[in-house]
Amino acid sequence: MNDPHNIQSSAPTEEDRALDPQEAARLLERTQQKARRQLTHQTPLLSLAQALVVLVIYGAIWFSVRGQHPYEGPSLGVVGYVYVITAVSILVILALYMKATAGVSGRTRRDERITAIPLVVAVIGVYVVDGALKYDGFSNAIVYGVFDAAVPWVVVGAVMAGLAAAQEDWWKLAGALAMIVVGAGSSFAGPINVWGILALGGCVLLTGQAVLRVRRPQLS
Amino acid sequence: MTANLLDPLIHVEARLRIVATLSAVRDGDDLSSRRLQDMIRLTSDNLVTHLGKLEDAGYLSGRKAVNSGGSQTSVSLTPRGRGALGAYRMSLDDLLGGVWAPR
Repeated sequence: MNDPHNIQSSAPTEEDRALDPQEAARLLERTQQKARRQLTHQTPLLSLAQALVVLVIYGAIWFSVRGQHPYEGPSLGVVGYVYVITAVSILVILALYMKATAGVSGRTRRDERITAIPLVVAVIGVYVVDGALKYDGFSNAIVYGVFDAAVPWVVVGAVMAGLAAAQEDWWKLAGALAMIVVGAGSSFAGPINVWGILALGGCVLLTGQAVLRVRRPQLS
Repeated sequence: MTANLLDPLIHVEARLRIVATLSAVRDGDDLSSRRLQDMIRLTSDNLVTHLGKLEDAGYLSGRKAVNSGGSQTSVSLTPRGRGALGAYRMSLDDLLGGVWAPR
């Protein structure tokens, strides 16, 4: 196969087939829709799958801690199950993202770095503070309950909101602010029900995102 | 019904597919010619020819990058190319009497 690298080349091949306007309109619409689907990993189906994952993860933790008096936190078995599901989800999303953005360069690559660095630092910061709280003698209800459940949502939401505002992506900003509201609001439910609220709240948010992506595919 | 109003540079099946595909790429992004070829399934020779015509018209720009895997050309629509596609859409809409509502 020839390599189409030098776009100044003028090989004598031509396929100037005339199109009638209706055919052209259909082709334009179909090609753009197909290209949009191929260039993004953020499909309605993925949002629905993420909604299910959030429901399953937070729901499982809520199920494992309900009825605890005093509160001790999720069992090691549930924590292991959560880590496995989270790791698999991240790998699947990364694979879809890499497939969708293969061959894309420019702003998308810059945004990756701009997003990844503060996000990773913020998440590490949350768990450093988590460790400090445990070290300082705070109860399991605070450390393995309210803090572990709600604070990551607020911190990650705040980072995403800042990035969305800088990119003037108002839908993403609305989603990030909703994440902060759900995270902060859930902390009032106490160390047990905070997990249940986040399971439902996260599921609703991501289902809303799926609906939005169906109704406004150009946002994906 | 006449197609004379339609930009002849775009009103060709292969180039319409190229321009439509590149218009779906985010502003500020480029797409490698190899990925573009995979997406629109044109032969290499055809792609080279049509990209050259669109670049000569100022509708797209090419950028060559050298990395560990060799050199790679990436292309993107220029503002002029995006404008031409917008005008092409409007002409199509005029010709079709508003039956087709462009997005």
